[in-house]
Amino acid sequence: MLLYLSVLDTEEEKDKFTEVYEQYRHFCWYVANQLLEDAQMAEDAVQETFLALTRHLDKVGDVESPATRKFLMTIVKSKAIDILRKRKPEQSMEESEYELPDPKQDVLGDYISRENYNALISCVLELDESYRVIFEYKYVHQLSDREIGELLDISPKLVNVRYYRARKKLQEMLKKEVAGRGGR
Amino acid sequence: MADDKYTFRETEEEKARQEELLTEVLQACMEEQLSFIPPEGEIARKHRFSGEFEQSMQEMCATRGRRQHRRISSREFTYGFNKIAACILVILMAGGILTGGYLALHRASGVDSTAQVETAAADMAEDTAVMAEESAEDSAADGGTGERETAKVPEQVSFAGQSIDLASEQEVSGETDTVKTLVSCPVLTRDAEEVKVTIGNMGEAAISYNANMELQVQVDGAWYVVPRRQEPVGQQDTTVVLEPGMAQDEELSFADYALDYDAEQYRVLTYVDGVPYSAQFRFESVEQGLEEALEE
Repeated sequence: MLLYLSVLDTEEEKDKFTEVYEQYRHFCWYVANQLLEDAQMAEDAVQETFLALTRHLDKVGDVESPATRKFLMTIVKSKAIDILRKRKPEQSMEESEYELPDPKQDVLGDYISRENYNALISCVLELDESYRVIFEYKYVHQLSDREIGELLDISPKLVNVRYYRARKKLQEMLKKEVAGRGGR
Repeated sequence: MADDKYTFRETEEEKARQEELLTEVLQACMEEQLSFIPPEGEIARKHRFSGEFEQSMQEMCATRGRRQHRRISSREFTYGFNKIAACILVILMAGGILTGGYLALHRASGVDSTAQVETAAADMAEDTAVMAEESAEDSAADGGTGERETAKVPEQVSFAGQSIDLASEQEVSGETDTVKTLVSCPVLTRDAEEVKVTIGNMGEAAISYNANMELQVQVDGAWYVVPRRQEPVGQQDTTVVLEPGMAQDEELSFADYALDYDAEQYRVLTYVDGVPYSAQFRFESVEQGLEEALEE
């Protein structure tokens, strides 16, 4: 690897991808290992992350920026979750059942207010990573369902299903949290 | 459940404010998570990547993730398209032989030639009408006329003992000035194990497409996604890069799908540089299959 990089340096061909790789590979491994608790599988997740990144490098601006760090964190978390899902196929079966969202039951918006800011932080931190990454892709990285689907190798429809499940889960958590704090 | 004051319909502005706040919360939570991650150097001291990992990443860096991409020669390109041309030629020849045989048989049986001409003319007119009708149906399905768009298309239909979802892309082109997608044979035998799709880059710049293609079926004029029986295990880079003037064959195995051989039409869909392209085919009817068997 070092030899290869030095060759690139001398030829001034070190591109953004390699820069990102150099900068964040250990970071990515650490994030993946936290979720997977398996060094080897964490390496697999890192590999999948950079493979996905090759197709979405246009979404990376400044390599050193916090946005890039966050983007990589979301990708590697989602790749680690994919690996976990494959280890538990029964979860994948559940995933394949497309559950259409019922807009009437989605009252998450009612709980999203400044006065509930601390409750929101607390619930998002407690939210399962599989739900949180969908929110991160959508809100933090501002990606469309199609873009998220491409990154996760799933259909935009399934992205939408996961998004509504995440909303539902967060809504349930917020309901309890707000009720516990004596208000809404 | 929500209190009365929360049951009012939220305005778009309120929704935007909520989304902004949710974004802020998610950003804060990500920063919180990031604050617990040690610096890169510290992690590097604690963990050494395996040789296998280093090697595959080295390859990935060298090709920017295109290590699994296949490049083909101009010879393969010509060969791929020649195969399709040959297939079409065989169909035309078979059609010609059958028509010739049919006419010869009728002549031999002493049918009045005028009547034959009239019959042939009537058949031709009928065929033209059927073709026009089919063409109109096709254009309604593929061209996406306003009529079908306004009509209610079910989100899910029952197909081959399963429920299938409406495809997100209904109007998909088979070719443009720069990209062509073709199936090896537009009508497949019922015992065909796979369909071969050729993607050609007729442009002047390299293109990339997803080799993990989607099978769709036409039901009542709308396209639906035929799900795989089982999704492939393990993630693979399925992006293929095609240099200008090159073509690539991809195979879609039918063993992965539950099929209805009597369905109107199938198509294989892929994304070329993010733009969907499709190639259509159908299975031969039972009658066609029997005719061929008898000929053999």
